[in-house]
Order: sequence, then structure tokens, then C-alpha cells
Amino acid sequence: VPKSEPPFDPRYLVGSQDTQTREDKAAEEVPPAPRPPDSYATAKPRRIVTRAQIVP
Amino acid sequence: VIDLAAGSVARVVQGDIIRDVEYVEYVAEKDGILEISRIVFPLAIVLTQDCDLEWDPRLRSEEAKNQDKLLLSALLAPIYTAAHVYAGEHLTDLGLRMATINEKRSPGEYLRNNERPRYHYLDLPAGIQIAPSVIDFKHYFSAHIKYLVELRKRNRVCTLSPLFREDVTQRFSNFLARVGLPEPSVAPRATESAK
Repeated sequence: VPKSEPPFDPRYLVGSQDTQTREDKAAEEVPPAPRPPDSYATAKPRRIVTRAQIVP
Repeated sequence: VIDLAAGSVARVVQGDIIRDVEYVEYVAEKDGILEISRIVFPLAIVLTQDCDLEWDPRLRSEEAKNQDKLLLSALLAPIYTAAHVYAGEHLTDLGLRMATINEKRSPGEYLRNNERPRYHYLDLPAGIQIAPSVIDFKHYFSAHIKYLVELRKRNRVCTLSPLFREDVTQRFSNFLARVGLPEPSVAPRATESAK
């Protein structure tokens, strides 16, 4: 009975440029966390002027 | 993306980002009327060195032998929303118009890469609900330590991790250490190729 060959795995191919499995690539391609929307824009600096009578 | 410090201590820390920090612009008195003008910065970052900030509360205790290293104030710099800075509109509520920075071209890229000494770009983690922002070193100001200690208790947003806060403070010190050279009074020497 002929022995069946193991399935081809590029990780064991010496000198291969592409040694990443599909799972490895998927792990690297995780999208970055979404940026906060513009609604998180901070308010702009504002001025407050207070006037008070000096009590002698 | 900026890295943040985990946990917090009960004092002002270098790299603290604090909400609604007030800066007293002036106090004037005329005819018995006292006028106080304050600017409220929605966000500001503490720039003072952490070793100084660490000593200060120790020296305010009654057991301290002296108050040699007591701080009068801490240095801060305002943080503006990057989109407002690009448009030159971050100080419009103060009646000021700033220069625009083209977000899509090199000026915007230089800003985001921290290649402009005046600015430090902040891209805070998604958990902090603040849009990409810019520290403006030119607008640094001081605040009394006791005021900051009380304000921080309710208004601290986050604190940068040590490596990132040192990067900010070092860039700030480099900004202050710039040397403004005068324009040359004589025409530059002609180059060999121009002869």
C-alpha cells in the first residue's frame, strides 16, 4: 500500500519567502482600533471675566 | 498611539492630562471694582519634572525639616483638537485667529510626525474619548500647585506613561532652548557654481 504524503505546509519549505500561514496573516491584519469620532473634539479655550465690588 | 500609565497616585504627576484648567490672565482694579480675567483650557498637560512634583507634597507636611524644594507652581501646556489646529480655529473663542496647517500635505504630516518643535501630536488610545490632539508648547502657562492638586481630584483624564511623558517634556525643553538668530546683515557668499 503506497504511503500518502503529508499535506504541503509552506512553513517547512527551506528558503521559502512565504512562510506565514493564513492564520498568521489574519492575525497581523487585525484592523487598528477605531479613531474617536469628531464628536469627541474638545471644546475650545474660553475667557471668563468676573467683576466684583471691593468692600472697604 | 500614545501609551498611558496604569493606575494613579494622589498627587500631581508629570504627564497628567487635566480638564478645564484655569489660567488667570490678569487682575485689575479701577474705582473700587475688581476685574479678573481667566482663560479656561478644556485640556492641558503637566510638563513639570516628576521628581519635583514628587517632593512637593512631602515638604508640605508638618514633619518636613524645611521647605527647600517646595514648588510655587507647575508648568502646563494646552491641548487643542488637531482638526481645530489645522483650520487655525482653536482660539476663535478668545478672538484670536491662528495660521492654518494643511492637513493633507507636508505641513500636516510634519505636525503628526512631531517634526515641528512647537507642537506635539497626541493620538490617545480609543478608550480615552478625545479626538487626535496637539500640545502647543508656545502657549505654556503655570498654575499654582495647590489649585492643581484639588482640580486633579475631579478633572484628571489620564496620565501618559513615563517614556511618552519624558518625550513630551524633552521636546518642550528643546523648544524653550531654541536660539533665535538674526538675519545675516551681509549678502551670502557666492557659491563656486555661481561664479
